[in-house]
Amino acid sequence: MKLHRLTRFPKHAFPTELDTGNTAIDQYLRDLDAGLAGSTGVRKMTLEETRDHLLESTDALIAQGQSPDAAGQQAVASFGAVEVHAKEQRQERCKLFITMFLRFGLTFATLMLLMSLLSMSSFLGEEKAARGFAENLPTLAKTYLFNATFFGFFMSYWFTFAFTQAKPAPVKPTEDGEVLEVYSQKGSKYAAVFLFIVMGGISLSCLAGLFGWGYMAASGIALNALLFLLGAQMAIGASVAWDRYELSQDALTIRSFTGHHRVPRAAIVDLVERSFWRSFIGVGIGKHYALIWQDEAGQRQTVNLVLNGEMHNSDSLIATLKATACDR
Amino acid sequence: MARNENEQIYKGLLDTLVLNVLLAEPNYGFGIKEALREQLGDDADVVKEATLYPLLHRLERKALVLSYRQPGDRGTPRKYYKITQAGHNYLKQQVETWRQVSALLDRTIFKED
Repeated sequence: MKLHRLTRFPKHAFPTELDTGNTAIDQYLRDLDAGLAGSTGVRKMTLEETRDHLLESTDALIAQGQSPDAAGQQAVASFGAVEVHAKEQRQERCKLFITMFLRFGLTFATLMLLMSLLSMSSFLGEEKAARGFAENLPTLAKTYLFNATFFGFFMSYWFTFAFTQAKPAPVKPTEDGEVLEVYSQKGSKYAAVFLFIVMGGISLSCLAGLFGWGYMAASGIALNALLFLLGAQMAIGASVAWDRYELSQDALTIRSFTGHHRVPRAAIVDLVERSFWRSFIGVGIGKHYALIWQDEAGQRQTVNLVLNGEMHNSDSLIATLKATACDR
Repeated sequence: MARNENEQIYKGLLDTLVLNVLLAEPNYGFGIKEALREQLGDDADVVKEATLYPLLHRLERKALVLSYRQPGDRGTPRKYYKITQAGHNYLKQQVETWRQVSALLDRTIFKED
């Protein structure tokens, strides 16, 4: 059974916008697509790279005097068997799935366990909560495994087989030269508004609960405090959808709700990716980076950048900033 | 047989050769292959796409290169690969190792009596 087919939700069909008009190349891309895992967006990442290579290769062969048909056939033949490339993509996705499964699943289950321990009575009921910890251990362990498996599967599936990096946008020509703009898609902003309302609501309910008001009043101080912080972190973190980065020849300009920074490119020392845990507890949904730069007085300064795959050109910005730091 | 063994040696060298190509500038799959073809000349056949792309993806997983996409001329984004600082360090180590191997061969097998 070809299990990868189950990951191609919601559309199995080949994305016809990738058709090239060259019969050999189009057939190769269709055959390759049939062996790939993931949503259309995920599969397109592999298909686009393959298409680009085959077209470049075909053009080079045509320039050497071959006919378009013969060139397409030769380009396809030298690219290798479809199954080799398809299998490589499936294995790569599979490794990513396992990594994400462990990371998301264990994080979520640990968080839920912590909440259970903070409020045993609302989690297990008064009678069970009155028993010793050892007696409740099997229930807690089962819940931990369930949460790790369920949430780990859900999140890692989305991250591995459904999520697609935003398309790169062209650089913007200005009077001072080209500017690389990094910004979120419109859909991300709608999602951020939804997240802000939901998580903000949870946070406020828990804040009310801390003062003995509302339906969270019975949950205890520790659980309410934890949920208040988590809710507030997520609600405020959703504002990252309105963050904007502009990289010109001279400087990086960062615009966010927390302020407006301008970092001269020549002063950039390093761009360091923060650890998973730092990104997890930090405010802002995405990967957190420390941009280290030197001010006019020679003092090292750090600015936090939050970038995610839903932002156009975020990968180009990371590559350029790392290159700038390397060149220094 | 000799040809086969040659290919094995080149494949062992391929990650170093690819990183060395990326040292000059960020490049995309076909560009890397062409650069290698020019460097390898008659032995260019050992760099097959079926080897090159998995290798690039492996280097990316090991954080020796990073990738990013830019708008392409053919209606789809083009994926570029760029060497990282870790890639620079790894390349330096690999080049040093190959230099030692080369020096060893010069002192032994290739030594002229």
